[in-house]
Amino acid sequence: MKKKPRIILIIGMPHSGINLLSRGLETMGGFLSHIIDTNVDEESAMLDGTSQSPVFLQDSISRYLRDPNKILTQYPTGYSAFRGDRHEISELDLAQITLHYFPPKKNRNDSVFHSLNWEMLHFFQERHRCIISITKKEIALLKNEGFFTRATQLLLEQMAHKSPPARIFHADHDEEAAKADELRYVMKSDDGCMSPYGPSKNVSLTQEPSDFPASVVDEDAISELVLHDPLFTLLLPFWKQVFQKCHLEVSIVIAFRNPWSVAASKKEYLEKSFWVWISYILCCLEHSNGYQRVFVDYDELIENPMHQMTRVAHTLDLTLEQKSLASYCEYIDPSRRHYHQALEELKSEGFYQQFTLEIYTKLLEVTQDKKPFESLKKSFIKWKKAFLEANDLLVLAEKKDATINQLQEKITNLDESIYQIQKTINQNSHSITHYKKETDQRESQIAALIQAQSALDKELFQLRQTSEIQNCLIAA
Amino acid sequence: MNKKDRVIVVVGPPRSGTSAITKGLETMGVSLGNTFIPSNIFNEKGFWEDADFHGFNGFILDFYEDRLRRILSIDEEEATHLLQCGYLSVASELLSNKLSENHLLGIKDPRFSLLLPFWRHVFNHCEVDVSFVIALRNPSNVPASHEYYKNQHYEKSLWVWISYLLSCIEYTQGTKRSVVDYDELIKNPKYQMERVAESFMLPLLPKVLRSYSCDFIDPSLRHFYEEQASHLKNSSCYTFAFEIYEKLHAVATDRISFEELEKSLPKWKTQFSFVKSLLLLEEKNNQSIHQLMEINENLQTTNKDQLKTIIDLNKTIMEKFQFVAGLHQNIEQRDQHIAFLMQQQRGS
Repeated sequence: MKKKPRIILIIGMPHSGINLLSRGLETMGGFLSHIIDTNVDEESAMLDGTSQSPVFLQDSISRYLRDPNKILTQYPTGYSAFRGDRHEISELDLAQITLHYFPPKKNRNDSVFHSLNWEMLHFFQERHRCIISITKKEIALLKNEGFFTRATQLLLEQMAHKSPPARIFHADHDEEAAKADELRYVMKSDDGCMSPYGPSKNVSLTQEPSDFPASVVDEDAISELVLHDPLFTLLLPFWKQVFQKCHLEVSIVIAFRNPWSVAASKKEYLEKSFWVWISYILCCLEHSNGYQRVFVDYDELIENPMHQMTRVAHTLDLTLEQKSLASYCEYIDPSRRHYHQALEELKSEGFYQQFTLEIYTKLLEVTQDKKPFESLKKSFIKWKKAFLEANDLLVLAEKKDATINQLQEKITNLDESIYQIQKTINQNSHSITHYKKETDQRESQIAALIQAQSALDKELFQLRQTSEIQNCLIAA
Repeated sequence: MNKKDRVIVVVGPPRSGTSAITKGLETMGVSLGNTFIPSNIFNEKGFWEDADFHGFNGFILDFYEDRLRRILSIDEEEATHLLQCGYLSVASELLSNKLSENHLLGIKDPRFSLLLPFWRHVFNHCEVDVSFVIALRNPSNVPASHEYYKNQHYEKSLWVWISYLLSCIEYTQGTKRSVVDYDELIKNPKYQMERVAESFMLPLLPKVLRSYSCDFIDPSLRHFYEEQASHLKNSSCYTFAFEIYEKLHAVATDRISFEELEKSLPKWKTQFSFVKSLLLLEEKNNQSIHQLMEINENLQTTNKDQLKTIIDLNKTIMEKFQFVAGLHQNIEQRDQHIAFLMQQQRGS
């Protein structure tokens, strides 16, 4: 039986070592070219050094570019085309479809996913989405805005590293767009619908015009992909649907960190930091359910990277490369960890900190293999119930964050405007000084000229007098 | 301070009928002072709130610069800190001044509810006989009223309502107190005033009571009805608020005693402590917004001033430019004249 292509998602709260974990994934058989650097986590970047990829990765890059699994395509409507293969594509009646090839990407290490995630989170303008995960209603709104199609296409585009996916336009619906994209073929069907996989139509393959443009990917071109971005966490309910449509296997690595350390490393209100931590963890727990998943504690990772990478590899059925792992362990330096508090030292003040401590302690027990993952299930129901009590006030906090951001933006703009105006004022003052100087110079020039002229007048008068005397003498 | 001095403080959440209740105290011969904050469209019949106490409460609430203290009450530690900072003498002096004019004084400011841990020390220090009237209103109506006037977040308004009342219940323990439900007051103002007078052992002034019941209290004062906030009923916050309301309403209708009510207080406090951090965050966010708006306003003024300066400078530049151009012309004329003269001289 064919294995589905897989996506490995590293999620969690910012400042929880997501970047460090993504580097760690590279020890599992050279995902290097597939790891999309979607995010720059300051804390991790500091620890990672954001340096060039370590030498230990280089020897294993090419091997993982090939994946035996095949995927052909997915459609926005959800009809699977896995059953198709390359031959079927070549047999397509190309005269009946519009086909346009994406330009191949030059640099795979880009931040396209991060940008898309950012755009989606900022779609809800009245709230600064940094605490609560998106709801079903919001997913529907995102879909209406075309984000689902974009996300699907982007994912396929990034996964098909050998041969870029094709976009199929519907002639009635997208003809202009297709032409603008230098399409090669335009289909005109009788009923306004089309089947891209052969001239014979059947119900399951018929697409509605509104479903286009769709993407077609060569199944041989698809391989595993590792994505990491904290923003995936709050958008996980949305991305889950994208993964489902793409018929991908999903494995999730959840990075978490001592919430007291996170709070210390972030410049925001303590209460907010803790609630964000709780929300991210509950979101990860809820939406990773049903997938292959593993929690990794930042401190455990720093203290014993070898053990943690072994845990991850074991859970995700990946093979560790010993040489790479050794380099990775050497690369991690616990002394560069700025904030660290042992569990025994934590003092919880207030109910929210007690709540956080309870979740953190339970998660640690799981990551330290003291308890199985299933042990969290019961607690999760209780935590979620408690969290829902606070939901509305967290929405309010997001709204207030948005207001604060807008005001800060206004102030920055005003500051800039004032700076520019001040600059103009200074230039104008300079011009005035210059004009004043010029005026003075001209005035003294005029004074000199007047003086010279009166000298000349005097001289002229004398000349005239002399001339008159001479004329008189001549006449006499 | 005269030991016979007596103060009746009206506390409770905003928009719970504190003003109407305060006015009702006059039926018991209680003086409300004569320097009230002005009425406005939100309360056309008047706030009956002494401007000096109002100002002082605002001042000490603003003492905490990191938060806009309008939701959570101060705690004992903060109250002690205020006392240590010299506010005890200021508050005592204010109270003494007011009591020197009237020995039976009624004061009202919903924000007393948040400052009760501090004011308790002041009342003790001044050795006055203090009683409290706790204003109660159906939580379904309070947020609706808030929303209408101040465009507040519904859920937040409910939490504010809970916060104020929990503080009132906790910090009025051991004093003479009475709960007055707003709807009951509107229905039967005479009876409610009789209840309060009886619990505070104060005589009623029949003429004033008649005027208050017939002329001042008007059923139209109840602007919002339960149906308007029906959508809130599914929220856990509403359930919590309603649980508190039912108990307090039972006290207001003399079905249970305060002692009975207080049995629920520890449970309510625990329940409230869960969201306390978020309300604290809300206060901090509000303070940030307040400060940013102030900065924004100042910058806008600076910007406006600068634009005016630029206009003035441009005007000056234009004048100077014209003057220089005039001088240029002058020089040119002179040059021509000189050239002419030179030519003439050469000819000669």
